[in-house]
Amino acid sequence: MRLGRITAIAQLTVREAVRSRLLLSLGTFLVAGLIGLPLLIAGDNTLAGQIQIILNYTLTYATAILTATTLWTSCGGVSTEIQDRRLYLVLTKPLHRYELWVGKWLGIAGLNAALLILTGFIIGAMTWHAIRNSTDDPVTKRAVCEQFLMARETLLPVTPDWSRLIETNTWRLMQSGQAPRGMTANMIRTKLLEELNNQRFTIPPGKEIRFAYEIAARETGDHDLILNYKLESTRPERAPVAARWLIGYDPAQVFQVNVTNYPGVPCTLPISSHVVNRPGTLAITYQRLDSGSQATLMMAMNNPGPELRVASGSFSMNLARGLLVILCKLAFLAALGLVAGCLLSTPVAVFTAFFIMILLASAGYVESVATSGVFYVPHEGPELVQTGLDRLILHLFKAFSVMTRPLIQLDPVPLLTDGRIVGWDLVLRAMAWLAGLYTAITALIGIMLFNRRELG
Amino acid sequence: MTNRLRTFVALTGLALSELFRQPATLLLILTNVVCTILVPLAVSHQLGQQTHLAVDSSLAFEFVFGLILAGYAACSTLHNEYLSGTILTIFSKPVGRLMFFLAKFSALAVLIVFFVFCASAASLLAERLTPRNFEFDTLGMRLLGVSLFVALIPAAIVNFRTRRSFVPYSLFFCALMLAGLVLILSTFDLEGHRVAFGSMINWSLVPACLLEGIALLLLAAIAISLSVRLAAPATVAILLVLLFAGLVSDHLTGLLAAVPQAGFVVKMILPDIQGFWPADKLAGGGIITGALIGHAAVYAAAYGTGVLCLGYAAFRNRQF
Amino acid sequence: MGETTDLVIEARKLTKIFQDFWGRPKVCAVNEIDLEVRRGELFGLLGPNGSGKSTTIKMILGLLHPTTGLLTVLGQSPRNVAVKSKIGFMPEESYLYKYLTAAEILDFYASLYGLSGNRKKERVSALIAQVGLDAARNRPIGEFSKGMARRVGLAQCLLNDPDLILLDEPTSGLDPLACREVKDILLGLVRRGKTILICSHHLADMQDICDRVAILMNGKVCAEGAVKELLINPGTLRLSLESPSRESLSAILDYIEKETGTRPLVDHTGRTLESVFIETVKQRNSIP
Repeated sequence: MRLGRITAIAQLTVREAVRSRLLLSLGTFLVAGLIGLPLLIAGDNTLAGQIQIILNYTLTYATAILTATTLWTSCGGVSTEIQDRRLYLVLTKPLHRYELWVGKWLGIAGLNAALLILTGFIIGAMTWHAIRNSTDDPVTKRAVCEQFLMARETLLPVTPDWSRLIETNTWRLMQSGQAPRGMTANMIRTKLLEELNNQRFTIPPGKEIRFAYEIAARETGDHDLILNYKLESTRPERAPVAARWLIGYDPAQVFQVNVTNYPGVPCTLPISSHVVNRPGTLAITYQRLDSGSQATLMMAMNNPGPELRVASGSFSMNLARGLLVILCKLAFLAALGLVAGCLLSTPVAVFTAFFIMILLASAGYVESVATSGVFYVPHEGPELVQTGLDRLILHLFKAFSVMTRPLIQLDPVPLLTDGRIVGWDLVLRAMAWLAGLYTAITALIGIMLFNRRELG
Repeated sequence: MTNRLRTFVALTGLALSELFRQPATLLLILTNVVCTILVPLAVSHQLGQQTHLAVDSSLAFEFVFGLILAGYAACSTLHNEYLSGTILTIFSKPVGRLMFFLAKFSALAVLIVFFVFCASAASLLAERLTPRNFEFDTLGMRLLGVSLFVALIPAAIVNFRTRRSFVPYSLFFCALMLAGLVLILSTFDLEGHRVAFGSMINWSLVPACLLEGIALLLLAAIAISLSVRLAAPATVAILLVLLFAGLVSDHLTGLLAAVPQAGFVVKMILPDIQGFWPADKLAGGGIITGALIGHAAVYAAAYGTGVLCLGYAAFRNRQF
Repeated sequence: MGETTDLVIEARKLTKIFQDFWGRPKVCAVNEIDLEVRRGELFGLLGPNGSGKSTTIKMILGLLHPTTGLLTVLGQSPRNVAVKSKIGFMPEESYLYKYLTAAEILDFYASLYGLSGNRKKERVSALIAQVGLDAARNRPIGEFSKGMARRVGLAQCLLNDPDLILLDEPTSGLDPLACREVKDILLGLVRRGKTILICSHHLADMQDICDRVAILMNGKVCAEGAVKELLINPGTLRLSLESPSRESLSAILDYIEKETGTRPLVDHTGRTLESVFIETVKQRNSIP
């Protein structure tokens, strides 16, 4: 029976949205933007660029529009009903206020789900249309599909086990008294690890570096693999670098590709599925052919190494998972808006909900402040003197960062745009944190306060 | 003062006092100020680009918050009158629709001017607070941090003692405090030493803010015309679309190069927001001349009058 | 004891003070009122604007919380959600969802009362017929006149066949015929043992149907009692005669004057405008 009342409220929310033409206007606005934006934005006239524009801009646009409307409808869903007193009549029925809240939340979530499904279909149709109408040759079309319209898992090179080497050298330095004054054994270990990592990715002229990747059985198949890498140069002129990739399981049977790389520019190298056709340790070597150059290169500075992207699912399922993550975000925002709407008038509720959303969106900045300990410039300039107020604010940031940490990296748009997999782990994390815990905590606080509110 | 003028002033005053009592008005204006003065913290690591970014960001904040305020306030002052039925009481008196419509726009324009005043002061302070060569203006930052809270205290006291609305007094004291801070920081350098008045403030931002203010008045005219038919969400959404379309109007006409007539129509219909965007003109040490402001004002007046005429045409035939 | 259990609404020193932002008292809307509404009676709450009628009703409905004092509804706290399944409420304005049709809105409220399936359909159809909206059942409420919306308001109030019915200005916005119908419905409900509390300014209506009334003024109960008792003007009598001749009337008046020492006032007993209106409309409707 309780479910019946919740369902009745949810149905009413949807019905109101349909009858008041909110859904129609929103759908029209959404469709116009999703179709219009990629047409308006000038790309680089390549199919790959066009596909990236479709994916990036449409997903960002849909997320932005749905975020704004979710906050608006959820805030207005309760506060306008209080304002025009429709809620007085509803709350004189045997209905708990939490049932009203949950019903409204489900109704808004249902509307969002419908609009996200529409978004998914439009994005699918537009990518299909772009590929179909492209004048590029089939090979290029296939390459673009392989790169972007695919769910690819990222493999990183196996990290060598340096523990014994580090231990031996630490012991030697400590025993010989060569360790700098004030450095503990742990500090030496950290420094040595940092040094070894730097050496691992350094490629002097005419030299080579080798990486090993563990390929599992499920990671082989008909689809090409893609190697993503970036070089940084020690020289400011950033001259092109001639090099060769050697790829294979066996040193005797390697697949070779000559390339020219520009430092600072992200590069991709497709690797045929015929080359990587069985499980095992795949060796990938980068040979510099320009022995005359003066520049030392660093492969993937500050990163764990070149990424090998292997196919692990279809684009449609990946898009569906990505949209599910967005739905979880919207579910949390709907909860936030409903709580604000239960307590405040519509404009103030909308404003408050937007403010909280922006605070949550700045989780990355909060995290960096909380970990670095300064609000600005951790790497340059003289050390700043912190006042008591600074320390208080910093503690607030740290407390806030504990709450917002799970929200970082719950954005599926960069993954979808890049052809990377939106894994079920991400979906489950979004469900658990956003649609689950955060929504539940927000709802509990909101319902508690709403129960105390008088409707006079 | 003739009777008509007296009625017009009464209508404008009523609309204005309603607008200045809305909590959302206070929230939007204060948020714009807070966001603007927080910009120096966020851009301090941009070596050599801090000032440029601080100015650009504060101008962008002014545009976006001003637009939302214009859309929201227009609907609050006009559209909500239909919903609440108060418009029927007004029209049962000897009040013409044209006078009513223009009074509403005048009130909105005064609110926008007030907003631009606060936003300009905040922009001047943000520019002053932007660290150069890691020299942080700790005096300015502390003064600013404390003053906004201090500004709300007299408003709270007035509310407590006289039960008068908190919002208009807090807006008044915030504006006063911002103006006072600009004057104080004009007189002291980063170390707190007295300097020649005004030497520490980049006054060239004032015409830039003025240029944006004219654009916001133009958008307010569009907002009040839209609010004849539409509620706040739709009005704000359309204003945002117009803002962005106006900013890329050259690109749009370029896309329509094959059909010159269509390009011409787009150019004529869309407001030329690019002409009001001062950041490009300030880049590289440029200045905003009086001629430019004059040209923009004439354009805004012509475009705004056209939009208001259309808005009034819709309002004249509106049935309640 | 038996009398106590018969109390449907009981208020003891019920007070409601509205506060400002700083927690200071702003308005004392209801000031230590005592109120008893017994099972099966039609109780009227009268008073000028701002006397505290609506605040009292809102407290009975659990929408406002008393500042001090005791208030029980059907023996329980008004904030108890379960008690609301036995209450029907018709507000002063309709407060309905304007995009929904009459049938849909009643269906929605019926769901909130836990009705489902055929029972819900039958109940909704019966009430739509009872309030005379059969022809307009599928029209959106937004297109309804005020009177039609009030009828939907009455129908939603009766959906759960409530034990206690609270009506805030039930006849406002209704034409006299509809007023009469509503009053008949209410009297029928009272005959079935339902308890009704009405808040109204229409004193004639209240006089017509109420068993007992309380008059509120500045948040306090100024008068309370059975309508018949309150209306008695002690020491004054009315004598009605069926068309006496001029001579007979003169003789009667002379006799009364002689016996009492005062000559009585003579006037025609007039019909009320309401009865004239109802008769006229009924006659018109009966003409084919």
